[in-house]
Amino acid sequence: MQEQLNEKISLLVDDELACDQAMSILKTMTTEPNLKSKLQRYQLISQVLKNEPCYILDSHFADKIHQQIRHEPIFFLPAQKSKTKWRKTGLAVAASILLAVVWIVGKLNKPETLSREPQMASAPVPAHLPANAVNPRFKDYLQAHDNLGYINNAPGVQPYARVVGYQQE
Amino acid sequence: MNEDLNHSVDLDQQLVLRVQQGDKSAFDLLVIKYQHRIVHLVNRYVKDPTEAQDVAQDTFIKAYRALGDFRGESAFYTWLYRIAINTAKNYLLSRSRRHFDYEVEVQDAELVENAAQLKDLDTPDSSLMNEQIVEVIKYAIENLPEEMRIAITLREFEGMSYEEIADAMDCPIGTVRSRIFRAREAIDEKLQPLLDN
Repeated sequence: MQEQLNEKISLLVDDELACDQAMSILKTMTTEPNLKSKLQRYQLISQVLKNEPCYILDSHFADKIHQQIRHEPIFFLPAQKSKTKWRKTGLAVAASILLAVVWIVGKLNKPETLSREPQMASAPVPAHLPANAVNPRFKDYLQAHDNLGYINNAPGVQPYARVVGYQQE
Repeated sequence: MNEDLNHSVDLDQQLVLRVQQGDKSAFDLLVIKYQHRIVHLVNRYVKDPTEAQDVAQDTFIKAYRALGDFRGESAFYTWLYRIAINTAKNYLLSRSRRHFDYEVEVQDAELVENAAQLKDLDTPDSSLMNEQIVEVIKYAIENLPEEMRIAITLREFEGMSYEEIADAMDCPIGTVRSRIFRAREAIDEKLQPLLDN
């Protein structure tokens, strides 16, 4: 176990440790000071091999900095990203609701339209028919040429035809 | 070597992003990673190892406070580097010291031509300790098995990535990883007693 930790420290010195593993070994160092000493010695070896002047740092060098930044504010830099993310989520939800409403309204309108009989204009009722009766021929004509019925795919309904005349010279 | 640099930059970017998302512990990792280099850089200005550590700590605090404005237009270390230089210069101005024996240009700062000169400015005890450390480490490296010595030298001195070392040594990456680790362990076996005493 100790050897595995030491090997990870060796990888850490060479930047060959993944970020998560590096953070993990750092956390372990807080409870095992011998690991921190090991890292400092590895760094010392590195300095000598690179022909750099070697400095024996105070063993609490990093700890002092850690203590000082404990009282510093925490950054929340990607606040904008979070806002954007929530905005997109909100828009997506709103769009979904809107689509659902449109679909429901469409569904509600369809059967009403299909079941709804076209409003018939009152036509002169022949004398032999009761006052509230509609001329059947006129009724048939209006039903057959109801534009609204055609739009709503009512069976047997023809589109309203507009006739345009031209004056011939 | 470019792959290794990209890997390091990727890790830094991930860590910076974590900090910017509220994870302060990710900044601890950045501190651990760059503490030696920043102390080394600052010491070129303040010329006192103890003061250099204090200024370096101020550098990291300033970097944390400014991290919210960091947009990744440059590498994190480059950005940190500039903060370190400014912090060191401000420190010297505040202490009314005029020890500008030489100006270190940002671009040339990595070229440690005057490392020996810097060493002379150390205290006798720290200088002696440094010499002992260097001696022990170099002796340990010379006595490593050849494959381990080659692997760790290619990594540290040549700056090659694990993939490049695997190609150079014609072995799997896992073998490279193991050789470098065992080399460090063997050196550490000699180094640890010296530091503990």
